[in-house]
Amino acid sequence: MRKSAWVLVGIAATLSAQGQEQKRQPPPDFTSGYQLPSPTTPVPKDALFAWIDVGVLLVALVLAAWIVLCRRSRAWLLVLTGFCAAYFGFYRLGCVCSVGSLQNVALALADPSYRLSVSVAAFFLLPLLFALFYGRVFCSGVCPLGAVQELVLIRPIRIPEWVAGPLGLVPFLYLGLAVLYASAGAGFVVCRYDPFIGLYRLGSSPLMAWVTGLFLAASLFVGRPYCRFLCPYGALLRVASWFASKPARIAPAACISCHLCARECPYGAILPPSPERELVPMHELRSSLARRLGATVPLILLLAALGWFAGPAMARVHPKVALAAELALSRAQPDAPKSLAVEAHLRLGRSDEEVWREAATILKSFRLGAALFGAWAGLVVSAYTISLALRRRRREYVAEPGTCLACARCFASCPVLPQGDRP
Amino acid sequence: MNAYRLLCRLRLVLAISSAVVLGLLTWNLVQSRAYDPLEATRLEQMQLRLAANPKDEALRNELRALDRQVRERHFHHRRVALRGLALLAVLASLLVALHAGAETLRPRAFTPEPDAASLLAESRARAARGAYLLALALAGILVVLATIGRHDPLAQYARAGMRPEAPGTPDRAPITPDEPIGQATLPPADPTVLGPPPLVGSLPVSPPATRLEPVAPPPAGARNPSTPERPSPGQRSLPSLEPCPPAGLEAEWPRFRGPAGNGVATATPPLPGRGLKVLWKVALPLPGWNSPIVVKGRVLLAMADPSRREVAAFDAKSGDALWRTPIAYKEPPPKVSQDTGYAPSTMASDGQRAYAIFPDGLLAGLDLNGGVLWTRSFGPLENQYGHASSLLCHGENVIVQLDQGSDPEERKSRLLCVEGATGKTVWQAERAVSASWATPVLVRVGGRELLVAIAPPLICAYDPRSGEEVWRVSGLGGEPAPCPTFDQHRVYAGNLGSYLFAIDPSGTGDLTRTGVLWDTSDYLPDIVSPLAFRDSVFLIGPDGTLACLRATDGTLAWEHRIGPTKASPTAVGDSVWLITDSGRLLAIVPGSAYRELGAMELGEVVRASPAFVGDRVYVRGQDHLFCLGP
Repeated sequence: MRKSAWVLVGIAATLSAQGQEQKRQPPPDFTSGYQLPSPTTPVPKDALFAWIDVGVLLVALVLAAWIVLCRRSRAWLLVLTGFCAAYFGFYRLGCVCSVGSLQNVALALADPSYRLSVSVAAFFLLPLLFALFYGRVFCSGVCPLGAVQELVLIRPIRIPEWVAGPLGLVPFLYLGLAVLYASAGAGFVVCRYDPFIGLYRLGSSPLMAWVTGLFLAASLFVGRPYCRFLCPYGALLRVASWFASKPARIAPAACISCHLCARECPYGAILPPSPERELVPMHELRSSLARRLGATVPLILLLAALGWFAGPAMARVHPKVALAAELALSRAQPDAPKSLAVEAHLRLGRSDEEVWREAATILKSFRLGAALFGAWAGLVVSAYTISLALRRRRREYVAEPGTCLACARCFASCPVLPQGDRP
Repeated sequence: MNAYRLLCRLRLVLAISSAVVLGLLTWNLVQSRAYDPLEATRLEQMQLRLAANPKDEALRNELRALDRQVRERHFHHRRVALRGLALLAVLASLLVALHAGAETLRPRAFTPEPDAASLLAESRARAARGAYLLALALAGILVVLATIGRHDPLAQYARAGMRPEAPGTPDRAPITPDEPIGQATLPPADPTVLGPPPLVGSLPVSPPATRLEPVAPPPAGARNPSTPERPSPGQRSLPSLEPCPPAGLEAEWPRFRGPAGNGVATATPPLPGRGLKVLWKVALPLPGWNSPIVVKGRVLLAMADPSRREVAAFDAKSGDALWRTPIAYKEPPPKVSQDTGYAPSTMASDGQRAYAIFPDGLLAGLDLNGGVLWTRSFGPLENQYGHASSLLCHGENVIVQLDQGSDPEERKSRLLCVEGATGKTVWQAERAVSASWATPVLVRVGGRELLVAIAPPLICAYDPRSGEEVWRVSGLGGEPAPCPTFDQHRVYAGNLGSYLFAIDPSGTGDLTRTGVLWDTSDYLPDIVSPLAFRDSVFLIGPDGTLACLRATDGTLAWEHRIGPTKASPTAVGDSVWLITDSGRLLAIVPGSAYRELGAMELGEVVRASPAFVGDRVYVRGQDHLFCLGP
């Protein structure tokens, strides 16, 4: 078994190494009169495809919910996962996807002149809507990014809660960052640094090819590292799933607390029943709750203040700010080679002041945005720590709706039979 | 043997196979490094030797052979890598599937968890510390970023740029804006004519033309709609603009886009699909993407291939070929793109003579019976796709826009006025612009005629009698092929990769700050010229989307996809006529929503803009000339 694992690690590394071969070759130096063909503008596919995508998404979500909740079959779910990876991933090349759509929505909310297409809005809303009823069925077999990780997970390693819990906050921070950059018009960072898109498009930059390789290698042993510890849309689904009215239930009848399901879950999403006698005394819980509540406001203010000061540096990702920075550098060092953006600026005949004025406006708005991001981070951390100090009673093994990815592994391990199947 | 063991053995076989393929791929990768065309040092050395001794034919042949060998081996390794990767992907998929199956069947011993609840409680106690550590790490990152931002020279410039008045020297900037940017190479501007003086740091803009008076450099701002200096549409009274068609040719089609060059026709043909039919159709002997012109009962076209340049005339009523005149030339055929071809420029006529220009810079004057009066060569022209600007007449003179080169500062571009009878230059204006494929347009503003020509980075208006620059707007980018146009109050110019500007043309000097009424970067055309008609501006983008913008503020009224189109739209009566690349001719209502009045198919690729005269429409297809009418 370990040999197979190492072979797969090697495959992942080789794939990422081959990704470096994507660099373009220069055209040959023809002197024979050969004319290079003119580039043509490809005609975009008809808008009908956008509606087909929405239709496929809707059908896939319905199927996923039915398989998880009614059929309770992992094999069927794997078939659906394979189809969604093939359609949304390889055929539609991973775009539009629900994960990236949150940036379109953020930009549309921030910039009234940006028009949000109905299909993108549907990709954003439909999985959230299903999560409100059935939990994260989108993650279970529809998301093409999750599909890759799900299919290569061969030997899951259990990550302890004290590591997985704090790491699970990273998606919320990434969500804040993605919203900040998208709404400021600085670009869609989630799409730009999507680790699996290169796999579906069979090509990416060398850096992202290595990132893809690393994520694939990690996915062999860690259950869905991207979905659990990075995906910003997963953060939204997690929140929506907390309110799910009909989430997946592990045992089809009364749970016998055999612990088999918890051992089978690679995501650490299954929580054991509460002990008869509380392990932590109530007064300790109360005091830690008071401490954490007291730390909330200072933490939010501290991170907001730091965000305010860090805003200008964070804005350097914005193309207009990057141009202003390169322009400043080229003005300071006139003999240094100029970037393409600076050359384009010079050819356009715009004044430097106009560029700096635009950059200054963006820097100013980024200060506020980064401060809000800092406050958001403080709020997320505080809310998590407070939730740890709250006591909830569980009578049986339950899948925590926010972290359960509805992968259907636990169903097969549960020895409890449905009432109709009992002898 | 049970199923679990069988799967385990198959899994082992697949793992070994995958490892073998993996090893071969790695070997192939190592080998391919030796044949990377980008890192072939021997090839590079030979290129240097050849550069030093360009007449060494043996070395040249050796270099070509080596280049071919390196490329062939490189692409061979690449093919092997791709096939190997495909095989590896299949093997890996099978391996994963088999592994999943084996894991499902693996017999498991039931071992109860010692105390899951206490383990969870302990782990959660540590999780809070982990969360605070995460917050601490984030705080550390923000502190680092704040420190970087604090010492960023950009912040100094940004603070300077934010001041409402001209920015001065930043307080303690390591780079002082005055130092490198204040190299004002420009003549001082006249503030009474040209508006506010240039801000410190304005880019040097070269004096525009040989005969021009000094014009101030473009000041800052005015391109962004939110720029406070921009007057709102309601705050100013706009001038009245009038077309300037050649005298006596108001009802004819003497140039690209009609008598006034703005795509507005006086013809009254029946609508397509509602009485419009093909009256005649003749085959064209040579290719060319230029549009037909119609003068004195003749349909005139330019045609060319790499070895021939010709002008042909057809009878407008019957389609009979009247004459074909070859134009003698000496220049070798220029390098042109397929979309440009060897005859992209539309002819022009003043009613007595006709004029044609070809991408090699060959300009010819002919009488209307096909006799060549004179030819002039302005070539070779430095143009990456091939020169494609069309001609127009002003009185008995011909206006020739010869913008070329990639660097405006090289001053290779010119705007010429040539005497129609002799071909001699009447005036010439040097232009500090790069190559353009657009055609100028003539418009009358308050009794003053203006010749508007565009090329990066300028939209310029000239006096067509003297070539003196009247005003300019800077900020144009991209590769302009769409022609400038106008309606009753505004001049419009712009293209893909830049902006579409709506300009009040009544001013003088630099209007970048004061004359731009609005601009937009959406729905910009790549090839197709805009049509301004009935308080709307119609744009056709490279993806075939027809957009209707409101002329007052540039906002979108509606959009509709009509398919790939190169021909420019024309206003005919109360409708707007379009023709797509596939030959679908359609008429729409210029209203608040897209509505087709009628359509018909010509069954041939069409890229030229039709000509409208009387009740007839003349369409140049890829292989035929069509005449449509009642």
